[in-house]
Amino acid sequence: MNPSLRHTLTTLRSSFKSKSTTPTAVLDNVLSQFYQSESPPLNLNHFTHSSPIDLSKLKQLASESTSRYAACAPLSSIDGVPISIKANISFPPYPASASSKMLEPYIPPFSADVVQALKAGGAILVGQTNMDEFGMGSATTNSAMGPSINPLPHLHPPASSSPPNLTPGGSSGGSASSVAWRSSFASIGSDTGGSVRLPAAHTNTTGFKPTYGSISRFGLIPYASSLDTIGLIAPTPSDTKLLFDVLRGQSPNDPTSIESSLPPSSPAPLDWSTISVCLPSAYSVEEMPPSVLHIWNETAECLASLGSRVDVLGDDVLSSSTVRTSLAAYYVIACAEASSNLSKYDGVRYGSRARDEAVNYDEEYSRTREEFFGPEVKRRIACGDAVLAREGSHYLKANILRNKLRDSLNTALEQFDFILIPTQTSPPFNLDDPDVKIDQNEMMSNDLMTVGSSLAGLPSISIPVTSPSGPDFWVGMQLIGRHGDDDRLLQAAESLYLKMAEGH
Amino acid sequence: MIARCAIGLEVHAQLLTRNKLFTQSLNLPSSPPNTLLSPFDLALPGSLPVLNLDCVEKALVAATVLKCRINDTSRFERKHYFYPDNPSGYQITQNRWPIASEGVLEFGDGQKSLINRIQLETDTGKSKRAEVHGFYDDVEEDAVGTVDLDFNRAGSPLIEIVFEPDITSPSDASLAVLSLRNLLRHVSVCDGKFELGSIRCDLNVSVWHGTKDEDIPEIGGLGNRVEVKNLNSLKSIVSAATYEFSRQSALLSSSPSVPITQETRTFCKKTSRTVPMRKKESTTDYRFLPDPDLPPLVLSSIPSLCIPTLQSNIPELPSAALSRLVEQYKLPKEVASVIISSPSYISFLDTAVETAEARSKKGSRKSTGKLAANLITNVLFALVKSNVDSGAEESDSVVGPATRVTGVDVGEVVGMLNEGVITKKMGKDIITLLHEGSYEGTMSVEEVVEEHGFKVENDGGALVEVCIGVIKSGDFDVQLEQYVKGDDKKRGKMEKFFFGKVMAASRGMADAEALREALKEALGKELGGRIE
Repeated sequence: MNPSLRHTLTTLRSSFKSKSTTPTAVLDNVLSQFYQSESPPLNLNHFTHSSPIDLSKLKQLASESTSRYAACAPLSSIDGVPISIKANISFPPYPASASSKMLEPYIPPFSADVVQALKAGGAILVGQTNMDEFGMGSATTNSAMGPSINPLPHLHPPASSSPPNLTPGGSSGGSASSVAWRSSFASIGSDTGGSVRLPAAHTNTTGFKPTYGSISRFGLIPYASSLDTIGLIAPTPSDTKLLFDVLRGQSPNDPTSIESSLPPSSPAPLDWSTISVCLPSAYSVEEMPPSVLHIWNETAECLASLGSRVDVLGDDVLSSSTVRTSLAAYYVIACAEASSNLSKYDGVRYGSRARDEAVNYDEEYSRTREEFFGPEVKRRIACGDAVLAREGSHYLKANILRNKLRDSLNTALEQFDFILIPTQTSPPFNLDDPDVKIDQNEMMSNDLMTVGSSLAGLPSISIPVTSPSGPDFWVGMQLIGRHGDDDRLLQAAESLYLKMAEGH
Repeated sequence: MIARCAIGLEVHAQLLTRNKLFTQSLNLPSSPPNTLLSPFDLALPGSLPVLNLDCVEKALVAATVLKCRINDTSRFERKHYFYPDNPSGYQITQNRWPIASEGVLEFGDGQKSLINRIQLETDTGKSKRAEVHGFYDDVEEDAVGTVDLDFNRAGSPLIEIVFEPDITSPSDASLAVLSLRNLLRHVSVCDGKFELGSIRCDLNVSVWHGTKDEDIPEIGGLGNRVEVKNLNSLKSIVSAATYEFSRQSALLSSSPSVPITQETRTFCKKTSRTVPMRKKESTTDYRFLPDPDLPPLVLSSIPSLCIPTLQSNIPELPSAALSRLVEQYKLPKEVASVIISSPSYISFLDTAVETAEARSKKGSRKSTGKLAANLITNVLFALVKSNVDSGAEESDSVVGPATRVTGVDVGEVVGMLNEGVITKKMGKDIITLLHEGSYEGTMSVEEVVEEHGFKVENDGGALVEVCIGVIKSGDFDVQLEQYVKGDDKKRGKMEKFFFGKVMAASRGMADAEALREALKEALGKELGGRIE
């Protein structure tokens, strides 16, 4: 790897400011990483296109940014930073495909709020990343463009054999992979039930899902509107913080967006002696391997060594049945909203349309939707239709369970500043291993660790830590904060990340 | 026991707002096709709905005049079905948590129908071929070949007013809809144009057996309800309800033990019959879902919304105005009914009367209102009507008469009439001149009077000269002969004849009383001369 690619977003910014490197130079390095991952022999398939659509424009933007740094006048803290965008975010001239055949031909006539904000901040938007179709999946295997491959084994290839093709997780698998591979220094993904946190954990990067509504969803192709958030992936927590400060805030285009007050420009360092963190016993699930339990404990010890009070949260506040049922509630709610949100794809106004002439409208819709939706999307639409039948009583019941979980988590967060749980229960599986049955239900149990903060709308960040069990298994530890307390969460995450990297 | 019917109405009214319900697109559905579109109107992925407050305000005005309870918290829901003119695959409506509930519409001669709820919702686009025979026409036929889609109307704001099934005759159903439409027009909530679909009606009919005066039983005691969709005129409402009533009564009397099939039917204008809709369409499960893109609508949390102010700005309602005009101005009911058809007419009349009374303290106040109302309904409306074809006239009543004549102008004229300084003929001429407006800029009544020399002639001597001139003109020698030789009755008759002639000779400028005196004098002279 090119040494300048060892940068994080934060160190890159300092180097731009000190003029030890330039956006133009970094773009060249990023592009060479881009071409390497997207062409033989690697074909890691992180991006939807094998090269950026508007290469000359990118180079021009990088050169303009270089001039701004030369004049000591960057537009923002992300000026000149190469950033990639998930394929479900309106980012013309790229088609907003959401990795679906349904939307392959659809080029949006408007840019997402986040894309506009990044452009206004001088970021260099290098490409569009692969994902599970419409965000439905945890492995980026449900993509019409084929699966993305986890770049970590290819960054640290074992001496004896060729590196395995592991999943990067999903649904923002292309985004997390491109950050790990440094074909971008950050990626804007989306998180409905863990879609930036799980792939970040699988790729040794940081994934941040902010408080629901704190970043505008305008231009994000919806999966489940009440759970969808823009999610951020970058090498470190402080990198996601830089991005978050550019993107946060209420938007007139999104009625569910909320005002989030900007923090003071130089916040006081976190006083760990006043901080308390809990480890809910309800998340000590049987599926969790000893290695993950071990890291969970190590991380808790690290927090204690920082000076934080660390306690186990008992079943009385957050019961394991509440956690278990919340996963069911999550799928009921997500599928119900998905079936509704995806009913607009009928082939009439945009997107793909079945060619054969149908005898009536219903048949025409069926043909289009049968031909252009992938199997997992169809499965979730069918589930959603079922739970919404008869006045949506299942949906309403699922919301009762959701409220119960939210109340429990909020109660825990009244007693503690943060919750610490692992991001995943299992390591990334091998895409080529014929013995690995890609069982959708098993993958869903991974989601158990991440859907809680989605259901409760709480900010949550997955921090990369190294597993003692070997280089094939990268683990993420997840800190969950109070509603709207994103700034302290990011501060704590950065502090924990640095301490863990030190080997505490 | 006789067959009786219970009819429930569901009325959709397009709101008169600048923008659509959830986008900044203009709410002008009859603009050239597909010219009023925002990303959300076409359900482009990633677009989101943003509620426009003026639509909420119109719904609240409707809720107020229909005496509904306003719900501080309401929720938008998605109602799902696939149709080419329904871009998102769902309509945004308020099914379980409406903005207003439990109201009443009063109509006719003391009848009323209870309102279950008022819900804010979006309209669909238009599919051109389907609209030829009504919106829910048979899909199979339409699907062959192409269908033209116009999404201008997609997302336009509607209120749906859902009534209880408590109307007992087809004619009352139509009367209720007419009253509702007039009321909504009156308060500028909806322009109420059936022919353009800005007000549309569905109804449900249940038939039951009872005595003539028996109250309608609770829902369970009624027969199964049959819904009839998309009635776009008062005539269709009567025809559809009448047809359903007789169809169901016939079924019930031929086989009383077989319940009426609960179904949705559609009205065919050509045959004046209702026909069942396709099973599939009428049994659709709409899979209602609280819209996760829209937070609950909490009225008390909207700083710029002040419901009491909104309510105090609602104009005087037609029923109240009718009694006031009859009481205050002593208007005949027929004249008052014309005036109350629009709030702008009412304020026009009020302004006219106020102006006239301020102007002439000596004027006869009793007749001021009547005089002004007559000038407005007889003179001014006739002028307006002659300018526009009857189609356009309908719309004018919402914004006020299409004339540059103001209430103050009419008041000035009435004042002058009361003072006796002009004649009725002059009054009519002044209003005509102002309406036709051949002047640059505006001209006051005084200026018109000045320019045209409108002044009543009441100089006795001069009038006698006019009368003598007519009598002696030679044109009326026969009539004069009859007068001279006639008895008192004949003379009276001929006096009237000559009065018309001398009034014409004065070009309507003479004061009628003074002229009558002058004519008497002139005729008396003639008579005396003959005798002498």
